[in-house]
Amino acid sequence: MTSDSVQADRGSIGAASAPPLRGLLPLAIGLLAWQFFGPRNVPYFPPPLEWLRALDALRISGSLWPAILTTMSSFAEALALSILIGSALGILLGRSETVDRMLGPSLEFWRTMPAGALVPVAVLILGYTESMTLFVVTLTSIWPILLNVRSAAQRISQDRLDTARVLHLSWFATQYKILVPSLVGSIQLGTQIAAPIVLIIVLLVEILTQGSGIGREISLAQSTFRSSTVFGLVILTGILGLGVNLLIGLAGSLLRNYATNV
Amino acid sequence: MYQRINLPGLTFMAGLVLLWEIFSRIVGARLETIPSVSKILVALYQIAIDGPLFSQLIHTLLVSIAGWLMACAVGLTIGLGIGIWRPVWRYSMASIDVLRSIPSISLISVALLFFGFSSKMEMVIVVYVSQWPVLLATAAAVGATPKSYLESAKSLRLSQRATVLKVRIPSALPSIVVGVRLALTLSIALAVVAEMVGNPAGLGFGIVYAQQAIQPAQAFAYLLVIGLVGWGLNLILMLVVERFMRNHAVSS
Repeated sequence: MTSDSVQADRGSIGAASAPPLRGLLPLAIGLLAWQFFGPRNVPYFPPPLEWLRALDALRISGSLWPAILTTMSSFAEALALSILIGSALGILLGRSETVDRMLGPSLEFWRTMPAGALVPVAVLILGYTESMTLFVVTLTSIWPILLNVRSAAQRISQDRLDTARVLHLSWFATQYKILVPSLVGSIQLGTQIAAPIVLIIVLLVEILTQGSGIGREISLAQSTFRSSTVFGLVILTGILGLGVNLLIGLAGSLLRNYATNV
Repeated sequence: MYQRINLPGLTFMAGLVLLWEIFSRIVGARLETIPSVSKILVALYQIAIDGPLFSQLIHTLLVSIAGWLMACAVGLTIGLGIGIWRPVWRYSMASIDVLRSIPSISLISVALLFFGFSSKMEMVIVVYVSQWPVLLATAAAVGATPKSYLESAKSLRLSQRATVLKVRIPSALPSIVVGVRLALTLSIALAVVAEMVGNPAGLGFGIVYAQQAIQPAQAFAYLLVIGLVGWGLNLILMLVVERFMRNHAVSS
């Protein structure tokens, strides 16, 4: 069966097709109902417009944008590190069976380590520093990238590698012209899975250490029972998460074009 | 792979442990924050004998397993509904995509507002977050039953109910299993995180407590236990799934 006929044999819902936007209707109705018919006197149940007002108050007090900036720059740095280290390790493991067998059990154990458990330990060793955040976040979020790249590197067709040999490409050129383009898809897929994890762990570090960023603001608002601020910030993290997903999806489709054009 | 013992891999692991021991004895003696392996084991023994380790371990295990089972039930039910009826998918999927992109950790704060520092809060978070992969996998796989299968079901004059039970669910099973495995990983991770941030019980609380009391050896001991819990539960689930899939293999 070729891939085309598999596509044709798919049922009504293709995996690739994006859901239609009218699917947002229930969410919108729910929010409207919350706004207009929600309980008035329950302090933990503020209506949606209050969330926006609370966010605006935070912006006026001057702590909103710095918090977003801190969180997103930690996020971007950690994601970049995860992509670099994850794909490098993935290529290493995928191309060398010896290394794969040697590192296998150790990686297997680390991979199943519940995300987040590392944070307190890292705080103890490294203290409340920016490098601690990067270390923890990278260590917990490289796995999807590493595993995807590893399995893709194992499946690189021998023909492509033989072509490199026939053309007498140097080692560096082989990596750059054959290996990386063959793996771009898997790196993108891994990144798509890793990005939400990165955001979650960045926020967790900020909540636990009370250092800076959106996580700290959420934690502060929650401990002082400013519930509309909590809701506003939670929605803000949701929007950031959604935006990041869209960006990575976009980057992915651009990269896939490049990969098939090579 | 699982039958053969991976000797180089285990040697490498033992080598790492040995290196750590040597490193922490030479460098860690001055830093005092990196405990040696032997100190970690001693600390583990201490919290296991007169510490709260076992009650914490049982708490975390109970919450993550119970939460995982509930998440599977919820995810399967809703996922089936969305997968079978196309209009439901059309009018709900975008909302679901928006809802699930809210980072789980920030939802803990919302749950804390509603339920306070309690096990109820922990449970709600675990179930809410870990039902997403099951729901999504079920909805996508049940909705994408190959047309040829559905046509055979039609030519066999299977009823709607029989088509779902005998054709659509079995053909979706491999994807559902992937979702179920992801849900287990998530439920353990979320239970630990919820304990760290909110509910003062379980292994997550233990590790944060050790950190705040500046007890590196204890913190590492907890990390080891948490790692073993994650690894052990995953292994058990994988063995169960392997056996189950062998018995109920769909021949396509």
